[in-house]
Amino acid sequence: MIEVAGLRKVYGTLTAVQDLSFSVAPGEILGLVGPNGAGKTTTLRSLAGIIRPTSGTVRIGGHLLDQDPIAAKAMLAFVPDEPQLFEYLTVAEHLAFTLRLYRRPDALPRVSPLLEELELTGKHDALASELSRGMKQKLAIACGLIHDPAVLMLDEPLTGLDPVGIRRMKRTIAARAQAGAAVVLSSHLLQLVEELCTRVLIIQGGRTVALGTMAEISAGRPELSGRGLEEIFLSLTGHGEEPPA
Amino acid sequence: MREAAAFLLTRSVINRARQFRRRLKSPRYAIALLLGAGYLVLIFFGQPRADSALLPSGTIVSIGTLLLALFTLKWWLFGADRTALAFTPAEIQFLFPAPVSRAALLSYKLLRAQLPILLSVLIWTVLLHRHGAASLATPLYALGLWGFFATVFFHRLGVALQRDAVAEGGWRASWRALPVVLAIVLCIVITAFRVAPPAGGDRLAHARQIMETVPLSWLLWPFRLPLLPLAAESVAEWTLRFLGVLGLLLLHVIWIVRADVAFEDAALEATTRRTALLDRWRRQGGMASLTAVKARQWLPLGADGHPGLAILWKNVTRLIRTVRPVFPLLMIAVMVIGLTVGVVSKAAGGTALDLVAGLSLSWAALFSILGPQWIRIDLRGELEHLPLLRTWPVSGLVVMTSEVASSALVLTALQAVLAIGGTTALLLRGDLPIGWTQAVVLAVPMGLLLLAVNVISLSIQNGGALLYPSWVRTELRPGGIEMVGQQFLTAGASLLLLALAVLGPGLLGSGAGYLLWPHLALWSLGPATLLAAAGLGLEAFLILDWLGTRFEQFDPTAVN
Repeated sequence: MIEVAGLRKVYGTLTAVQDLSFSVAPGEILGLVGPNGAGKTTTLRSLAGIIRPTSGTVRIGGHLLDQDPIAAKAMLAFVPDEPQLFEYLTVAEHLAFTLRLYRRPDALPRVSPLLEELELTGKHDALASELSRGMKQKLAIACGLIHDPAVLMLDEPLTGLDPVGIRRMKRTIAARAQAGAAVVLSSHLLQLVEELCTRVLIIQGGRTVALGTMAEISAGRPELSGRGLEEIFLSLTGHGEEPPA
Repeated sequence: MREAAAFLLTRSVINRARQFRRRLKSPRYAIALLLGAGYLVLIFFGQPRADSALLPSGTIVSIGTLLLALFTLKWWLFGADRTALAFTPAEIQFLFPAPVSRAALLSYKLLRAQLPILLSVLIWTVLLHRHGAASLATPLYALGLWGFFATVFFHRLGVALQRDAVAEGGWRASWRALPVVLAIVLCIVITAFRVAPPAGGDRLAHARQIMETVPLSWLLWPFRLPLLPLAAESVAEWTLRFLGVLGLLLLHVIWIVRADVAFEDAALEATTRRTALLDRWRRQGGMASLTAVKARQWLPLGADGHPGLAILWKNVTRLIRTVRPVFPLLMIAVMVIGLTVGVVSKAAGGTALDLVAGLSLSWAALFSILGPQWIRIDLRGELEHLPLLRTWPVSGLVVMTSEVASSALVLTALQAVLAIGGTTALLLRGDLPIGWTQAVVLAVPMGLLLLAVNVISLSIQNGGALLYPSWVRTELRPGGIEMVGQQFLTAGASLLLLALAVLGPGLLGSGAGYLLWPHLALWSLGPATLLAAAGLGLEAFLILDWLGTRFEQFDPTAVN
């Protein structure tokens, strides 16, 4: 569903992402992890069509993002770490607006169940500016899910959510994958990644450090066998000597 | 705290100076700064016009006294503007949880306020000296101004601190202050009766005389005191009066520092409000206000239809929910009343119609030039959402057309209402060489022409935001001299581009009108205007198509 080949993004003299290649199949959840400044956000933004890669190709559902952006974008949803909402639109209007943009009037009956799923039912007519940080995050996610995207990209989706919201969101993400969506999940919460993701892509300095399932990543490294993602991550990014917290 | 405050203030000034020096290395910034500085030099030091002399010092003191008294009354009755209590978000984060007393925090606030006060002193000293309103030596006059501005600020801060006790109850508290207001009114009435109007009918002199007569003069004395040094005739007189102001300032400092009022909540609220206002300025421009967004219901958006119309709907919703409809309603009310008076009353009809025609047509013309700067429900107001816009499955052409059309339609509707009102007034007066039928028929092509010009003009503005986002953002941010220069540059370039764009279709329409005139006379305006509008429409399409391609290639991270 997502095919990335030789992705490279250069800002002036800084190479943010270099030669990144991976694919995500329907039903898969790929965890994108890396230290600060590793290039995670640049990668996600490139995949979502927000920025143009310097070189390389991105295919979404078979559509080349740079050649057929409308068809590619119609299949995906990107939820950034900081919810991007219009403060002058209500919750319901955000969803109606999204349906119009994605030309999905058939998804209108999904509005109420989705609002219920994300605990936004009571906020139907509230303006985005009246919502708390967590509610804004839920609305941004609702806008991402309402058109039933085949590809879901989430950047730190649990930021601002309460424990109940976190649990529900994890269920929602897993349910989308089970329904056949290809999900890319970027997060610093390694426990979340380990719990939800079927495969993990660790990047550092814009390059791939490791890609695969936990078992595949530790297969060639006996010292990492049986270890959790946190220890694998620290070891592969050169912080393996640090004492545990 | 003293050392920390001194460190914070000095380092802030030094680092700002360094940042300013670094920015000067950018040619864009340096040019804008030069232009802005040139403009200010022209304003402050250019040859003054013969009729630009300000009022004499005595009159300035009287007017200042009256204004200060009125403002003070307003602050005490309705509460001072609480932004006087605002700190910066960083100051709130570092200073408020720190082991620092309230008195120390307020002392810091008073010290920090000196920077904007000194800037005001500089501006007003130059202005008043240039216009011959000051007879004292510049340093003494500047010190006098400092005393005045500092007293005003200190008092405003003091009232803001006391507000909880006085006017937190809103109108109910204001009603409680009714006896005070009545006493003041009584004082003014008694004094006014004691002063006979001058023979020459000089109202200003009469008002001054009232203000200087007992008992009103006693009431106004505390408000006159901070202004007295500005009207001093000698150094000795100035010294005596300035000592009085210093005494008043000292009393204010003691009052504020010893207030021991729990102002933290109010300061936090004021800081949040000011930060929000600055943020809106940055995003929306100088017209932004802290008007709360209200969920005013209007046309609901259906789930089915073209995405471009949805973008247009979203932008108009923004306008409806963030702008108070006072101005358009007032405008329409004035127009309807004027036209009604014009039709009904023969005696006052001429004046009313003149008023409607003059006001409507001059505002319509003003909107043609400044409207594209004022109405910003387009890409310029969406710069923070650019990454989101790029994820939409919509072509760049659709995005740019919808964004530009949002502002263009609103602007054209405003101009159309004004033009219809003005033209109706002129037709009622019989000042136009056309009749009602011709006016109605010509209104359609004229409206299309207006829309086409507005689309071109707004495409230029939005193109600027897309191609040179840093220029647009800097223009919107409350800034310094360089902002003035940047506004000149962007406004000049926009007008030049608009003139170039209008030139071709304008010549085409004029040519058609010239050829058709012998056959159709005034009716030739119709096809000529339509032809010009069609030419402009074609140009607009080409510009928007190009901008759409640029939008698809645009890197939104460049804005940040």
